[in-house]
Amino acid sequence: MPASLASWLLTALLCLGGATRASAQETPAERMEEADEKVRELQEPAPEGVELELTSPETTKDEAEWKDAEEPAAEEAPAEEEPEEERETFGDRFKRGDLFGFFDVQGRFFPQPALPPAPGAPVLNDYWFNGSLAWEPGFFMNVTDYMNFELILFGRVDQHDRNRTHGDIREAFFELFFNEWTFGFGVHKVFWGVTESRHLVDIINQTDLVEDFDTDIKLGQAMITTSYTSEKAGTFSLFVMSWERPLVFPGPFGRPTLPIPVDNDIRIYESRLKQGQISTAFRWSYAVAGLDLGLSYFFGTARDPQLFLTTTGAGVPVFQPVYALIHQGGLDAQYTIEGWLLKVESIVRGGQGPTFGAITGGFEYTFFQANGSVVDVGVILEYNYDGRDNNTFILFNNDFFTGMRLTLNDVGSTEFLIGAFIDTEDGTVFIAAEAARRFGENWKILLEGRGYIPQGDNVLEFFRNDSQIQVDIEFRY
Amino acid sequence: MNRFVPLALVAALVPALAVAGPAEDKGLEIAKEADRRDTGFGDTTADMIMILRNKRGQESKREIEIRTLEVKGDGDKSLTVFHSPRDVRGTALLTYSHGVAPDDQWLYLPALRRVKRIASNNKSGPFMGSEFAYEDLSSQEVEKYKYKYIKDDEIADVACFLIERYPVDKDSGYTKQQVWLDKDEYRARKIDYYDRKGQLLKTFTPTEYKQFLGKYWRAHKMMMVNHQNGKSTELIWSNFKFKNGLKDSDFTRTRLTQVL
Repeated sequence: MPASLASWLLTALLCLGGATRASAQETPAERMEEADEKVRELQEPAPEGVELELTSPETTKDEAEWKDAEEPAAEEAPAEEEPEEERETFGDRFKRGDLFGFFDVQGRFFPQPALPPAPGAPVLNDYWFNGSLAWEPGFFMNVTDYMNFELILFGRVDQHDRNRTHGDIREAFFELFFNEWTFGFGVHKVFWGVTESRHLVDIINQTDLVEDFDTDIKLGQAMITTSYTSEKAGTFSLFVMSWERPLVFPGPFGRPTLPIPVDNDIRIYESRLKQGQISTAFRWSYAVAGLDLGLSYFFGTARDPQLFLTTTGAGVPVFQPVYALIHQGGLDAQYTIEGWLLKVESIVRGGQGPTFGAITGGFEYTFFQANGSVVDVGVILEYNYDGRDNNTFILFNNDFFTGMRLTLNDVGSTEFLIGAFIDTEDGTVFIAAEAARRFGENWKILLEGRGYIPQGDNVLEFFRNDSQIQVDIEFRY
Repeated sequence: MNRFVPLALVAALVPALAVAGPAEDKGLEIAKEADRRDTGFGDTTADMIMILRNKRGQESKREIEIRTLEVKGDGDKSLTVFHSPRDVRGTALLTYSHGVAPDDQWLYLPALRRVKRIASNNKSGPFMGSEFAYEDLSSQEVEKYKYKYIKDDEIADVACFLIERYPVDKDSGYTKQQVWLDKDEYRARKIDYYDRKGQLLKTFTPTEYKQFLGKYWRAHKMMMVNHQNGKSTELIWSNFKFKNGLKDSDFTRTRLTQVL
């Protein structure tokens, strides 16, 4: 890392550190005195910036007598004489509309030189640094007591990869709720599932793969949805979706990227309606005692396309994506007992080559306040099996994931997560480590390292030299 | 193992020994009376500002909205929604508390739109990095403790009962709590928390009580001072509203994703 960059980072860190307010050293006694003073201040009539909002004068009365006994200062200002005005606090923010979101400054560092996509071919993504900027503005409003509206947009500008310079409507969703019923329409995100290493059952939204290879980030999906929730019978949800989004892979200048580009302009849909196909999904979820259970069914256009090798008119090899119509049944379950979370997800899918099944299962155990400290240590072990043999791009089909989560429970909500996928067939390892901490009220720094250790002819061989370190500095408002 | 084990064992035996005697009966009666005076509130909503202070006086603020539904014959249901710090905006926690049985808790993570059932034995862990443990903020059901009346006492010239209560749950971070309840209204005036080694850990002081619906008292300011690490957490409550007509359907996993 060049010295100028390092010093810039250091300066940034120091500035952030300065954002948390520090005062001179105080003894506990002084602090208590200060606290007492504050109590007295609070009991003065209607001090600026202190909420003393009460529901209504008729239903509320202050007990001045008791206060007098506690604090002589209160005698001068009996609380009953306070003007009882309605004060708006942060809790009312969502009623008049809450603006929120984040800015992200991201740097990705690649210590190794990029490999050519084919022997002798030119290397288009051989850089050691990639910078990018993102903004995700959001707006939420509780329009009435039974209707919400949420709008979340997203945009990223990337230094090298034109595919990664992208925008999306994450949410543009009206939601109405009447007792047990909800109705929603617009662009929305929905998550199903329980496991950590892979999200098999989750199928409503397309993955924002250029944002991150970890498949956690999703694109918005246009839908109409309704659900009914009852304590005895669980939740029944129905989704009717259209305008499915294609999966966008990193371009030839992206890193990491596939050695042969995926050409979305020549994508094929099985449905004659192409992107106009209506996909439907149904889910039932239920919770009883320690058990959370979900059953789901999806029929419609696949989110993960099959990729077939072809050539462009100029004879350049490209992958042609094919979006089949699929049926998918899914099951997800978690049993929670004390510090144990036992999890399983499984799917059966037809319509994309031979019908296949896939399963992810394992456990997470948390040692709360490990070793007498306030630190929580969680260990995760999961096994992934995927029986597909159909040209869809998946990294692991028979592998273990093992991970550890450290939660410091400090003011900055510092968290560490380290995990590794180990392929049981050839011993290929993919390892990732993350750290995140908040600074002050609005800043957040995330650090992530990823390493690829491929063996044999594993698909990760393409990424052998693409190990990376990523730094994100976020301003959240 | 370690030298605290014998002491911890003795401390653990104390509640076992503290059964049925006049002091125990009177302690339980006081706790039941305090509980009785707070039943029938239906539901409440309130806003809370949490101010964390460390030894050097550095402050950090959290804004939290809490909705509670009283459940007859079981622990309350509650929905806790974070407004700030802004990186956890919209994060929400749904709790079905069950007295002695473990609570059911689901956490909603808005960035992933994910509802996650979380382990229920994390009683003594710090809530959002504060000096309040999860168990300090959870629904205070009578059966969560064994009780013992100690003596009549005074806090700032207010006549109080001093009772001791011993958590029934083995995951509790405490061996003992000393609770001062004022004789007039059975409101907590001070609580001393003793850790697993029997040492004084924290002192809780609620102030600025206001009465609602002519019956229910709510403290608008609460201070928790940790004597062992020098940190403190202050809660400033506002916007208490009672009988909002909240129902079971406002406290479901579906609704958890719709609060903010």
